[in-house]
Amino acid sequence: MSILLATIAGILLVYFGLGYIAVPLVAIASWWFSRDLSEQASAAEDSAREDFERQKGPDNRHLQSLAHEVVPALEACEKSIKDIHSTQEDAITTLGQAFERLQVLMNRQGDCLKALTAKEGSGEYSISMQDFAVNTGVQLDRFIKTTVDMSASSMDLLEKVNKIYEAMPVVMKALKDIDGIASQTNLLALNAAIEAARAGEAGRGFAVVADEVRALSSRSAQFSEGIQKQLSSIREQIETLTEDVGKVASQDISYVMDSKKEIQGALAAIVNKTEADAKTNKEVESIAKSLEEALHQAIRGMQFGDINGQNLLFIKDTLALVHKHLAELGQTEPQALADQFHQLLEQIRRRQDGRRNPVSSSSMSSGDVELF
Amino acid sequence: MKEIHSISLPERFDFSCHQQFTKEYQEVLDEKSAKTIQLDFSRVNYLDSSALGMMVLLHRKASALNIKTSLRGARGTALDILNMANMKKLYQYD
Repeated sequence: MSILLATIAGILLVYFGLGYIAVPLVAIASWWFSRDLSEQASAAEDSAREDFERQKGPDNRHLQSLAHEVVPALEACEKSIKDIHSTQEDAITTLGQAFERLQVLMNRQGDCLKALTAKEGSGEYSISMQDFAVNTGVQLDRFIKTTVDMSASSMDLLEKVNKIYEAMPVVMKALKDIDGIASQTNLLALNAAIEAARAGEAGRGFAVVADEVRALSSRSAQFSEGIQKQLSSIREQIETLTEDVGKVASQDISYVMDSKKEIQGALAAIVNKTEADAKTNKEVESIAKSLEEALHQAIRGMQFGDINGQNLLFIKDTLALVHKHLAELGQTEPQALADQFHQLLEQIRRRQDGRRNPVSSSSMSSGDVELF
Repeated sequence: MKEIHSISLPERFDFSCHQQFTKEYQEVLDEKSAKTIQLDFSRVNYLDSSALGMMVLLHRKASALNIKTSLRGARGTALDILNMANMKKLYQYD
């Protein structure tokens, strides 16, 4: 009688949606049932007939009415289990598809990341940027050197021109001396002319010579004046030249320095970026690995849905058998009923043996099956 | 012949200093009155390419006479420009 109560309790539990508690209960009940039956089998065989004869009356009626009560409940349980099973199947299928999609997407993401971080791509780019910055720096250095050399040459030129400029006053002084000589000569020629006039007819020839000397002195004075004018002009031109060369030589080069600083900054930024990229690459790689591991764990976890589904089928079949035989309870002789249950038990046992895995595989780590 | 002849440079070391600067170092070179000509940059906060040109010229002339060139007190922008123009190669930093 206890087996019946346990079974009913299990059935009720399943009925109220507590199937997972009911499963072991029913299993225990089945086992108990089988043990009771096998232990009592021979004894029951002897006493069954007379017991049946003796208790046939009221007990039979009780059993029949009890069966009438229990059968609908069992039917409801079977339906519930069937529903649970189909819902779970759907869920597993959806999950499986989702995981499959997830894996495909993950692979695609991995490819994209590889393309993004491939050494030929980013590496070459940053190297060429680095080369560019370095080259620009070298060009700037060359430019600075050229500018400074040009300034030095200009300064050298300027100093040489300056020497000419400084020689100018000496020449001017020499010309002034020539002017002095010319005016003295002029004076002398004038005196000679006066003396010649005083000599009268005898001095006529001397007067001509005095005039010629005067003419020569005034010509040399004119020459000196012309040279001095030329020299003044040259002095002015040298002054202009000095100014112009000064302008060429004086270049503000602080902007070059700013550019050089900018280039150094850009170089540092490029190096930093390359290092950061390498770091990110490593992190992305490790994330991808963890993600793959997690996905495999999830798939492994899903395997238990499959096991549960097989368990549910097993319970459903068991319930169906119990249901079938419970309906006949009270109508057949106890011996026949016992035989039937014995057969049922054998069926259950065979099935249990036949698909050992659903019941026995209860550890997560033991199952490493790939669904896809 | 003394060890060092120091030339003090003005705040703006540019083309306008040309005559004064050249005159001062030329005297030292002509008389060979020092082993080293030192440029004092402690007041300088700006210099242009002509200043660098004058420095290069001074170095050329001085080394032809076995006279050394050095500089001291350079700072800020002036120091940056001197470094950029590689003056370290020509002038010893005191």
